[in-house]
Amino acid sequence: MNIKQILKDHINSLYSKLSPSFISVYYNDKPVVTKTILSEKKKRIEETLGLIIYKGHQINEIIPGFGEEYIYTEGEGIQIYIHFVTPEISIVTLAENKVKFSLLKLEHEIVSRELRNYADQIKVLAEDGEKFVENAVTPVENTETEKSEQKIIKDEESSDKIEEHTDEIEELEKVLSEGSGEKTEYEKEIEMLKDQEILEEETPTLEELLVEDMIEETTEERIEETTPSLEEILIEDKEENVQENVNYLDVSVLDKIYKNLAKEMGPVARIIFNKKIKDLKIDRERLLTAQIKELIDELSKDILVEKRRERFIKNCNNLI
Amino acid sequence: MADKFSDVLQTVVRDSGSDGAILVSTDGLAIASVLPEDVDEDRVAAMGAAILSLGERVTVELEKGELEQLYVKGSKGYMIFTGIKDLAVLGVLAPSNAKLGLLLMEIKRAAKKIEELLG
Repeated sequence: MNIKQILKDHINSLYSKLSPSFISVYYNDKPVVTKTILSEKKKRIEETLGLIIYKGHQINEIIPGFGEEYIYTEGEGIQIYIHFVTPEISIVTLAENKVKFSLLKLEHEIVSRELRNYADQIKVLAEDGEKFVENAVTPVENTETEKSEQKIIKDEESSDKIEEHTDEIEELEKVLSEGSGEKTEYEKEIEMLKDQEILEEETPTLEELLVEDMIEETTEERIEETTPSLEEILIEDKEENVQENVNYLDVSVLDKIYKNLAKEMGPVARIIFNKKIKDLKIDRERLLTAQIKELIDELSKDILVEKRRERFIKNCNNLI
Repeated sequence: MADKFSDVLQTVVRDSGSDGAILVSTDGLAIASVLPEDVDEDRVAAMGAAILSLGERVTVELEKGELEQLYVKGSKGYMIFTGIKDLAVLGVLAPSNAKLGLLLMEIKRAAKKIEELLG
């Protein structure tokens, strides 16, 4: 049977027994399948519950081997129960109908025992980036382009980067002049890159590479050794001035926005703030006003109390 | 004042058979603590405040008011975080063989005392 169908069946089974408002299977802090009547607030609830799961896992850093089994909380008219099937897989249930805790726990344990048999398949499903909603159609969250981009970024981060051309050339020159029998940094890198199949099968010799580098330098329009003419200097200066006309904001504005957010949101502000910076791909060294405005706008959406949201926006707008 | 908080925490640890307790401000800073030596007070404080705050985000989203308590059960025991109005969070670490009923009762008692001290 298809893993999606298996998950749907189990979700439906829990749903019929507990009548929750929201029920979801998560892989790490991301939902894989969700069934809910709270369609308008679904995304925000999913995100927040994902953060709770993430925080729950952090307990292992405070108490090594804590081995979280479940998280439970209740308020007036609401219960949140997160049952950890495996360290990576959890079932999250949100009930507004006062379910007995013992029943919640028991039903989740029954489903968990079944789902543990499909842990690998759930992992594959989650890593494919597919997410589906029972009784509703949702767009696939990760497009093919995003997935391949993420893979490239991952590969780059996990492998050592090829150093800048100037460093390579220096290394090569050193090797040529010393003629050492031992493997140079360059040769070690070549071997490593070969393993990663980035380079072609035939590794170029050092001399070939030097020549290639020189060609690459010219095609990349690097600064040449010959002294530029006065005209060229003036043109360069003009270009620099044009670049300088782009006003980047000081990085301290981010700290101030964070502080404003923390005032309105409390300790969860740090998590939300860092997530938004990452999502909006904000470069702390090149802060543009438009980006900051977008950041403020996105952060304000996470402040649920209207007065606090207005105050946050007002305080932040004073900064830019 | 700090001594009074410590006294309350020591009482709850002693009477409930728990491993430790901590009183945390809502911005995640420890006010007082009685914790085992190998447990990082600052991390427990920050985590406690954050996790309860996250739970409250859900309840506020659904217009269900405040969360009273949140607990995490693991193979090594319990971590129980109790909100004290919107002033502080009481965190208690208890072993897995702790009597949950007694523990929750002692926590409630301690929370009430702390609320009085905080005014």
